[in-house]
Amino acid sequence: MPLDPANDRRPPITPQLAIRVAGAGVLAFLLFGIVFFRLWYLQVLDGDKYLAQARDNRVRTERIQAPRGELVDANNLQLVSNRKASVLSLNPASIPSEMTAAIAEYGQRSGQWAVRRKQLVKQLGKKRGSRKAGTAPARPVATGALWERYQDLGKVLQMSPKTINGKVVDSIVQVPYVNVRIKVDVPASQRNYIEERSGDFPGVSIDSVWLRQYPNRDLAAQTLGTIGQISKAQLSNKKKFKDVAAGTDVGQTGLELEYDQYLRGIDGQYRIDVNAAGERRNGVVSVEPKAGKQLKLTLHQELQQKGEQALAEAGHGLPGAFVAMNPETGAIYAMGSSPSYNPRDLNRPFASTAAYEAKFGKAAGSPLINRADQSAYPTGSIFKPITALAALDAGVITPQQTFNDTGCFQTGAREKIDVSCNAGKKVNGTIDMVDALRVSSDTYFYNLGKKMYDRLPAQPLQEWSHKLGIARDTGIDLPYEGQGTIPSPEQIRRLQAAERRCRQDEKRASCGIALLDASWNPGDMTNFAVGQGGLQASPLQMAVAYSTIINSGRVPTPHIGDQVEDSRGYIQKLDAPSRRKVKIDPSWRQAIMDGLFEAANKEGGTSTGVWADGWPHAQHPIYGKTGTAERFYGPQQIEQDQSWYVAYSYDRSPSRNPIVVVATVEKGGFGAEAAAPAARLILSKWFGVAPKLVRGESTDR
Amino acid sequence: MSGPISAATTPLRDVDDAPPRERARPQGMALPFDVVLLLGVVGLAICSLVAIKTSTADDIEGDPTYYFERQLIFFCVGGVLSLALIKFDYSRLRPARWWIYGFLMASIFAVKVIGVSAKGSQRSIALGPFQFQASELGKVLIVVVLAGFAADRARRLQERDTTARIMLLALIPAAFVTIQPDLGSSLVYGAISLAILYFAGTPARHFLALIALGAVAVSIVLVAAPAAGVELLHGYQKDRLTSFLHPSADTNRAGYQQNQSLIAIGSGQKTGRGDHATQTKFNFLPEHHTDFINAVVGERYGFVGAALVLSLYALLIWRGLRILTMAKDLFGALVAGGIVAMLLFQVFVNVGMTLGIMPITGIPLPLMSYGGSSVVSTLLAIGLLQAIYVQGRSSAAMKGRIMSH
Repeated sequence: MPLDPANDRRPPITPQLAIRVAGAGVLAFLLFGIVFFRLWYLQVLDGDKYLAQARDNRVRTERIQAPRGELVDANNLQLVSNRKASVLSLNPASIPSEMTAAIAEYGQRSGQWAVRRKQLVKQLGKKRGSRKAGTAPARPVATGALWERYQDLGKVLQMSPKTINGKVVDSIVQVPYVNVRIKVDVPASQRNYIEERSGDFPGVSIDSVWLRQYPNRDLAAQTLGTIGQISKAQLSNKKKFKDVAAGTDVGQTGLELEYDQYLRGIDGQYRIDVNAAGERRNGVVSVEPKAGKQLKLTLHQELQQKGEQALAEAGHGLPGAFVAMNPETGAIYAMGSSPSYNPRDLNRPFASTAAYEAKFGKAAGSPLINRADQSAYPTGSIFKPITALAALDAGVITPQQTFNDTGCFQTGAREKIDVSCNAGKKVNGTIDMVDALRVSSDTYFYNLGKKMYDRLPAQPLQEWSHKLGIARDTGIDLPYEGQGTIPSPEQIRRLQAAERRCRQDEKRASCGIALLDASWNPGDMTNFAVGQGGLQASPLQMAVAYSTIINSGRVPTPHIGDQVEDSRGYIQKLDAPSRRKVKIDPSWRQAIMDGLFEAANKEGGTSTGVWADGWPHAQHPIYGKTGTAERFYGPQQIEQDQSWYVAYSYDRSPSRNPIVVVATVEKGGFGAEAAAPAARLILSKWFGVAPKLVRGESTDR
Repeated sequence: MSGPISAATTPLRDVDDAPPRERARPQGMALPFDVVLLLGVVGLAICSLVAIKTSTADDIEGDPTYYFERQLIFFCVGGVLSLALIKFDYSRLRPARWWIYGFLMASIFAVKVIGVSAKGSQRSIALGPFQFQASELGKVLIVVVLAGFAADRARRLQERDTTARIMLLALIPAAFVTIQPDLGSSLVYGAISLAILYFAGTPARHFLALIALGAVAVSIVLVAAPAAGVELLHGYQKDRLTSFLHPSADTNRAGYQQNQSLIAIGSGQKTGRGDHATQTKFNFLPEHHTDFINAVVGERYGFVGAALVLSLYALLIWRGLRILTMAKDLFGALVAGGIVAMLLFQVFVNVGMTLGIMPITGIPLPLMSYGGSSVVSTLLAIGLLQAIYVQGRSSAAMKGRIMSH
């Protein structure tokens, strides 16, 4: 049977073989069909299920917390350290969904309630508003098996199941997926009991964590700062908080925040293979944690302690602040703000907003504010050296030029109204600049203020205030530094513009920011000349201003961080070079320094009495200036005197040990009454002189 | 099955003794070999290289292309050998079948004596930087040997003796391979021998008898012998063979791989997870570049990718069966049939294993799994298919037909 290969290429085969091949083809077809169907079933029909399993099925890396660096003082005494603690927490995933739903609903309702209450209080006043708002919605309480779990856990931890329920609810309302911290510092016995019976306590885990420890409790709390879980805003700050995982504790205030990148360690990783059933297969430390670097400060713990005590003792426990600084380098030896707080308390959960307010709110004296560098106070007479410098520079006076102090000064045209007087209308007679600083004559400086007012549009005092560091950052290594304000015609106009905006926006008759009919007049300038009338500065800024005068114009950069040291002993110096220089004529400096010296040493000096009894003047000469600022409190604007004192001293030995101390006590009275005695106690500690609390009797501001 | 058709009543004409003919390329044949088969193989090679490249990037630190490069070498070597075979007169293998059988047995023994241990079994001989796995080449050799033997006995296929001998020929190396231990290869040998019997035309009753014997043997190995205190299979082998019946019951041991494989494939869904594939990246799936390469394809490229690979295999099987029908002689047809069976069995068992419908047997996916011995052996088999095709074509062109009187 001839065949044309071009037409039929396939040679025919026997029917038997053809059947067998067909059979094989059918079998192959069947097998491929099975496989295709199974593939379709797995990937297309059931794919979601497996995808979920695959997502769940991965290497879990658990964080190994790296301890934060410690903070030590200049003598390596611990200020902030770490301790390891056992923390028992509950995984929210182990809580039944009905309960989490109830908690979510409660969170929503209580949020709405709080908003409504706020509105009612605003409308009806505190008493009626809060009555009308009624009580807050009650927390949902676990029932059944979950309640029994709380009971079991409570029995071991010696906590009431209600407390546990409260912690769970509060935590889930705030951050739904983060483990609920039930108890910190679980004793070993409880820990062992629970770990041995982990099956009986579903969702419970006990981990070792590093906690911040504050051996000196509330010492320098505002300066040292606090830590807390990294915030959303911080997480998005890729520069400062690069590669920081959510949930990490980072610095939130003070030095903890400023030097966070050094203090923060690098967390290690524990690699755990977990299968789809959630069982751990094996775990290894894949990355060792790296401890944060130790931060050495310029602070002297003992001076700090003494300073805080002195402020409380001399200031009758009133709010206040002090700064002790090396005027040449800007190294801060001590810096305190009263009232203070224990940072540990801030990291504990609060039962209610009211409980928080009671401890950290206004009623408690706002302890979180660092009054040494975040405050803005009128400074009173300690401002006078700046006025003197400005007047000398403007040429309105020379150091030797005398002025007849008659006790009162006519600042404006109106007879009685535009008259300002010395405290107690004291008459000082004919005085030059040194005398004026000694007795702190207000009229002398009113006169300078008036004369500088006449130079408008030139503003020598505003310029000099700014040159010496008012209304600008000192550059201290602390966050949220306060700037204060310099009064000026522009400042008044700015405030009036803000007042107008506010009245328009809120449709109110007055916002209380500024009087719209006021203008810049000689009275403003004379007030400003004595550190009042809208001038606001922090103790730290005054310390920098005085240091600049002491340094003949070099402006030091105040700093607390000295060096960081890593775990291998590698030391990195943190330097804070002074960035600015102000031109101060030596004769001007001399006049001011003489005035400051006489004020603390000579007959009639405002603080001579404070230093009279037992201070070794030969060894440690004192330059000091009192200040008594009029500050207005409350809606009634009750005037109360704020006590200020600036002291500069050094050792006559080659070591010198120069120090500038600025102290202030709110409502503390005259400068010599509260702030100056505190400064004396601080200097006593610094120079090793027997401490003595001597209150001045000066009635001069 | 094929029913009671016997070779005796419709004997295939044996052309082995026919006088040598002058070969000539018939007109109208543009290409001297099966282009579709070649394209299928090239397609699979590309799939294999892509899958291996992406799945092993993290396996060896500092050398992300280690497996890829080696697999590429294997394909090149196998490809060259395969192309060389196209012009090879495969009929010459038939008289050499006993030599081949001897070489097969010797290589299996050599592995036992001078072999290299890997992962608990001794399956290969070190050849420079590569390892020669005798049982893989054995799959092709046993096809040739059994096809030659069956072709010899083409007229005596009715006899029980023939069936028994063929089975015995396959089972002796299979038994030695089993104790290496390499259970997978020995199962392939079994499948090949059954296929050759089938294509040669062994009566159905012989198959029934073989099935009965197999059932008895399995129950002895799995049930009776352990009950009597004799463990013929390693514990893990038994676990592997039975755990596919309940893959998630024991996710930590034998069922673990299979469960991970199911998760990998299932999570690929329609179009795959691409670079988001985690099963291989985090090494949940061990042996992802060898036995479980199909899971890699399924996870990374989804149903689309897995279906493409399966289609290529279907193409191979189809071409293989087609070549079987075109063979110039019974020997060629049986060799083609054995190769088709070898491929089909391995593909189905391997893919079925990754899909959770077949036990874990350690059978690689031909042309996809990483491994020189497997790749080169399979390419040799493909070369043989091409040779059968070429000679079938040319004899058909010369003669018109071959298998009729």
